[in-house]
Amino acid sequence: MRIGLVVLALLAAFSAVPVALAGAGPDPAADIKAFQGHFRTELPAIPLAAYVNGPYNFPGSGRAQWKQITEFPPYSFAIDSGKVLFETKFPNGKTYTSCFSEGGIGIAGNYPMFDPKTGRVVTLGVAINRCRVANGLKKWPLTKGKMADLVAYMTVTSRGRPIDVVVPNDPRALAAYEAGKEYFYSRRGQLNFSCASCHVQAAGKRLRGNVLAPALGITASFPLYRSKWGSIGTLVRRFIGCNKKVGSVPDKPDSAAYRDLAYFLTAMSNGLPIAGPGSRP
Amino acid sequence: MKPLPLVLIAGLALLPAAALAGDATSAGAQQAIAAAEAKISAAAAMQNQWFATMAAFRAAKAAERKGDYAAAEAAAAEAGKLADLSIAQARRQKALWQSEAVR
Repeated sequence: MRIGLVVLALLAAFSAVPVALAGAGPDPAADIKAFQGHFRTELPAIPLAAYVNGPYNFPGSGRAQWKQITEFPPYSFAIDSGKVLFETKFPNGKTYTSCFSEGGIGIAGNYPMFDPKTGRVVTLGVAINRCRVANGLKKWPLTKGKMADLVAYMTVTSRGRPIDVVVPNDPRALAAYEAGKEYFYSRRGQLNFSCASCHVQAAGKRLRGNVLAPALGITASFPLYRSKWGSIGTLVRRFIGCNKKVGSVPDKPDSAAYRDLAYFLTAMSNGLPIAGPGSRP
Repeated sequence: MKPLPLVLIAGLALLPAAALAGDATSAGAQQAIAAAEAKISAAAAMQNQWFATMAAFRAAKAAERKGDYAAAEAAAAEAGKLADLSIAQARRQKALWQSEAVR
């Protein structure tokens, strides 16, 4: 009887091994389903596509003011400036259209994307800088200024199109995705907060005067005009701000950490419509 | 024999501490700063540097430049302790982050 139990226990243990191993690797499709399912369960009153409106789905968030602001949006100057930048020829006569599929129109929802040549994640900002360097120009800072303006223009041409970030079945892409996921859920800084602490666990709740945006759809409205900034800024500018808020020294704007984080976080919103540029307090 | 006045006893008790403070040297401060710097590098390698660590470290270096070696040693020790805490946090999170993940 006792031997039989031992044999049964051993069989159970060995039969569990393949299941455990199969579940150990990154599975972006399963993650997206679980992530979106989590928010739909926790906040069932919000339609899926409305998550791109972030904090304005919640009472006390200044939704009425935001609606009024969007009649004459503060980011419109950035879009105009970005259009001029997009159409201005490089010294060699080419333009940004030469570097992007579809001539750079309506493609913002495909970024960040994995580049199999370099084995790295490329955000739209990084792709713009690559284009500049390939055409004999210097890189721009990735956080604001002309970069944010150009990203704003390229994003507005993508408005309403679904976010479609692809994580190919390439070990390097899966590793980058998993690194971004780990970053998102890891607590850091002296305040011991993770991205998820605010944007998953406390989504829709207040942090002092602000309503915390849910992580689902959070990337869809970038670049953002923030009243606090008094200007338009990119997603990586926000990452830097969040890190600082929790007492953590931020990474460099073009770091693998932020690229991978953007990769994971944007992929979680696959299927939601692009809504950027947006405006926030 | 008359008992020693209380004030004198208290003064004598503080003597070792005063002597220790006076013993702080440039070499000691530099050693403390180097020790903190090593821990700060380790925290940076784990992508988990705290602002408070860097503030204490900058204070240590500033005190050392001014010749206040005791303050430099104290601030460097604080920077080292904060760096240790951030390293411990990063190590814990290597496993703990999965418990926060939506699944």
